Amino acid sequence: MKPQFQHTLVTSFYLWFDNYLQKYGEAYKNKTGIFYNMTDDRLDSTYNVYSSPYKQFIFDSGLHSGVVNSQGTEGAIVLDRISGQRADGSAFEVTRGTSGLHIDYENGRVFFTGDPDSSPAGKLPGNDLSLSGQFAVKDFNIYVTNQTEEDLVIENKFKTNDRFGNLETSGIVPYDQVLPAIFITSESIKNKPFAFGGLDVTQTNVKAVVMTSDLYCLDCVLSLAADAQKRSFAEVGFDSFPTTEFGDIKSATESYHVDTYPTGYSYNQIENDNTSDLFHIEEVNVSKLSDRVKKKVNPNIFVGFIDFEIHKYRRPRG
Amino acid sequence: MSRVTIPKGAIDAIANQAARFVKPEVEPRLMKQFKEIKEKMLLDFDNHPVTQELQRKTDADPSAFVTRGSLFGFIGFEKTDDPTETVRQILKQSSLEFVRIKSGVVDFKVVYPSKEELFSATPLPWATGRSWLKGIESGISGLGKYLNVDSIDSRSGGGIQSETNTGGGRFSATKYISEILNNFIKKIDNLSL
Repeated sequence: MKPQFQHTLVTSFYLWFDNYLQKYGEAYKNKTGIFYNMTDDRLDSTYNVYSSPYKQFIFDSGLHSGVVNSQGTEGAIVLDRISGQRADGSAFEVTRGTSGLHIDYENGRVFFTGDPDSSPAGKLPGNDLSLSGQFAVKDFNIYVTNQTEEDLVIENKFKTNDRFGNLETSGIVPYDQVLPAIFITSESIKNKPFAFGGLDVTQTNVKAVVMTSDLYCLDCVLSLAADAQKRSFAEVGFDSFPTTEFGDIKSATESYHVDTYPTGYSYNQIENDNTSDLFHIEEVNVSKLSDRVKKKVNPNIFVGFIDFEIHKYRRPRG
Repeated sequence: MSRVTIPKGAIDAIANQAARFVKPEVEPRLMKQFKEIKEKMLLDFDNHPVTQELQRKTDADPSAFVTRGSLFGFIGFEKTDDPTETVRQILKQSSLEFVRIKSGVVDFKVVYPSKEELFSATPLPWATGRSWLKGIESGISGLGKYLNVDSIDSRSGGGIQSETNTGGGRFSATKYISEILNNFIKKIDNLSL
């Protein structure tokens, strides 16, 4: 089936909310970290996988310019190369797109065929090569889910990654959902007549469950979300989602993608290019799971709820 | 036949004086009609299946709105909670008030709660920033029933223990307070003497 309004809405909302938290909340940390050799049965055996202890990486290069964050750097660092040192002490560096280097921003890892200049060529890290990179990790991972709130909160079996306090010595398992995180789901959709000529206002309720072990961070997200009321965000087509099935940014060499980002992905650019097709956040309601009942769930996890009512003026029948 | 022109000031004066006489005649009739409309609104509220189920608390099992257990337990209320009474008290405060007489017109105003006022007065027991009253119409998470587990400190006793049954009931959204308020407003708009 062709992508429909619902798909466009969720894609647009995901990208906007991700950028909004990072831009206005500086919800990321720049890190320099080692990548550890991992196995992944879901991938073809030709891929050699190296995973950092953190996920998700920021892939929005538009956050870098003009932003001075509290760490003193100029915004979030988007990983675009890995570097290392051979056993003989010589350094090497591989940039994204060469030597088969894919970066899985979603799972905090890279796919790499080996060091091209090693002897023999294509030597893999893990034997006598170290592998590291600089990247920005989101303070809150964002996942689109169809799980209900009760499934998320009651059955939560999430790994709580205290990623900024502990010294991690292994890569993180791919595909697992890791806290702190925000789970978003589009719950209901309704068209209401708005004007003659078939113009409707499509009202969509998007709900977000925020889960974190840090009350301060929870308050940050809820406060930012509440301030988003009456904001608008750009429509981004389902096909224009910036990452591939490997979690890497769509590049021009992959001609099967409808939209690609040959010079990197920047939400600021998307916003500038889409000033007419907008979604409007009519209402935002935020709430926290009360302490009284939180103890019955998981006393170490703080849970918040955000209810967005999003409006879009459109002609659904033509 | 000569024409008589009455000065505008005189007409205004007459109208103002007339209004003073009209008000005592009109007010009791309006009050009577308003009282009937208000009583009908309260009756609609009391007779609504959601109200009735919530008043029966956990005894309303099976429920017409949740697939397992009672609506009261599903939302996560405590045994001692009386959620519908809060709403009823606010609706009961609706009133018809005389405002003024000006230019021969007798002004009355009807005071009734907005949906937003009602929503802010009806927090969910487990997430006080959310309204259960709004949730009845727009959908409500089943989190309350899990938090209300069958334990010593069970609050309503109508919940489902999460470890044994995590695939519990689902709630069907239904028209509730909006419909009752809209009917009330429609009748107020049609008030006539």
